Amino acid sequence: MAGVANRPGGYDKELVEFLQPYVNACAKVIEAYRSENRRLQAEKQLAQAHADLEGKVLERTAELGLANDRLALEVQERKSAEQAVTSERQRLYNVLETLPVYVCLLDSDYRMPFANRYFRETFGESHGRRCHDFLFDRTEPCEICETYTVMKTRAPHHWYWTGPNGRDYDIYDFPFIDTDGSFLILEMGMDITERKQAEDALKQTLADLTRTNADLEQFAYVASHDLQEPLRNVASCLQLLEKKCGDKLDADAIQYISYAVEGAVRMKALIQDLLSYSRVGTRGKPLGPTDCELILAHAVRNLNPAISEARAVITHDPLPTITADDTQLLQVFQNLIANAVKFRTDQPPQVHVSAVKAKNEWIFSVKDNGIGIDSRHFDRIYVIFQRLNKRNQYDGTGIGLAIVKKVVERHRGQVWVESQLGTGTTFYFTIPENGIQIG
Amino acid sequence: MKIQPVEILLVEDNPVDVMMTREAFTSGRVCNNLHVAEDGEEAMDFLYRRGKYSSAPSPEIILLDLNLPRKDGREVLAEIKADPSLRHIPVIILTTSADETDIWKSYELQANCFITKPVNLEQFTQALECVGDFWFTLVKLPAPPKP
Repeated sequence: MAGVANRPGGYDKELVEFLQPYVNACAKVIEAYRSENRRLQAEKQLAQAHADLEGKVLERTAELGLANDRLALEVQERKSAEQAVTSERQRLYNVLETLPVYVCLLDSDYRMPFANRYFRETFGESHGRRCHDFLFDRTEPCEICETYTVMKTRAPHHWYWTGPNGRDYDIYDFPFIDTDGSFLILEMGMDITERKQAEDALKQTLADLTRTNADLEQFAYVASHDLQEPLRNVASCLQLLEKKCGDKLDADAIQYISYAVEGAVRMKALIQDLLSYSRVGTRGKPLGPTDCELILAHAVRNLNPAISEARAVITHDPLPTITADDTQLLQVFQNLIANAVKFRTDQPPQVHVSAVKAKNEWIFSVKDNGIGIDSRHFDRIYVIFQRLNKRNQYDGTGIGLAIVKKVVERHRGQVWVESQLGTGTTFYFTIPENGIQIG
Repeated sequence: MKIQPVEILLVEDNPVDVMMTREAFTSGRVCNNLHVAEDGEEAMDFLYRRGKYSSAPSPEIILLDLNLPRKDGREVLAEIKADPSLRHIPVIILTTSADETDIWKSYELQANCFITKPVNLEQFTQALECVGDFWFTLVKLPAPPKP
């Protein structure tokens, strides 16, 4: 209270009593003022607190909103993921059910926790029964079954099985750990009945063919031998006749004997050639690496008498090593060169051998400067014993080209000719690169 | 030239070939007795002096065809070369066959040589004369050691 508190002389009781209500009133005003202040402060504080709270509420609401959105997104993602899993599971299951082979799981007690549709439709539902029971009505596991070797070896196994339906299956067994850790066998079976039948038929055909070939070889050998014996008798007796009775016979008789002997000799040559021809098939070897230069040299050596007599010149380009039957290739070169030398003009024969590589094969050629072949005859020349000249004009039976063609075709190649009468002839033949022979 | 005739056993079923062989050896330079057996069985009978051959001489050389009825020439060859009392006798295979397998098998069975009969009479005669010259004149034939 201003002015009162510092009265000189102080305050006596009467004064104090006199001032008291005034002081009280001031005190009340001050009090009221303070309260008002307090009230205003409190109100301010309240308002502030209110504002803070609102702020906080807004914040929280925003956070919650965001959290909710996130949650909704998560739920959405979870749902899609679940859908994806379900789709995938359904897809995988459909794959198993649609497979045109059977797939099943077998446990150590011979039961099937899983079998796909193919299995169920082929063999029926197992209904929890053991496999040997519901498939074969057996009380014990089948003796010939190899599936359960997987249990012991824990390794994949492959074998062939004939089912209760009489069909043949190609079986693949695998060790399989189930989702609970237990050890099962995963089995896949493919129906190979038709394929097996085809394989068996093929094996049978091969056996038949081998036997037929053996029969043919024996036939050819025996036939040629047995056919040649009477021929020899005819020829020998005629010659003995000539030797013993020659002086009693006239020129005509001698001539008849001569033709007869010739006939017999010719027939012997024909029989031997037929035998050689049939042997292209029956005595053919599997194809192997063959050095053509060596073969050519061998052929030329064999033909030495004919070559020197004709003063023939044989030349060649570098020749490759190919996959072929060397004995048969020798026959080809020998026959073609022999022909080139034999069918000559009055010029010394010039024969050139070459080889050119094409995509998957070698193309050989034997070129000569001989009498040539009329194009009308290009097909006939390969026929057995077909000849284009008069009987006594040229030597030989007419088997050479037939053998060439048979050998080349055994190698799965082709033979053809280009020629001009009076100028010369070129024979071409191909041998495939990765040779597999016929027969 | 030997004074005593050489005893030859010819095992051959073809009468014409027998005739030609006889012819060749008759006109040859060496004196010989040609005995003929027409199949493998007869040949073995001759060698063992069985039945009608009880007084047959021991041949000093055998000319053997391969393809014979009853018993094959290949069997005869095997039997001769397996028998200690017969295997010293030279066996000449004289056959129409020129087959490589036949040639190999014959030498494997210890045939002394292999000749393919030429078709031509001239050549056949020459071949047999060669045989005569070689085996009877040049070559020494075995005689059992005196006890």
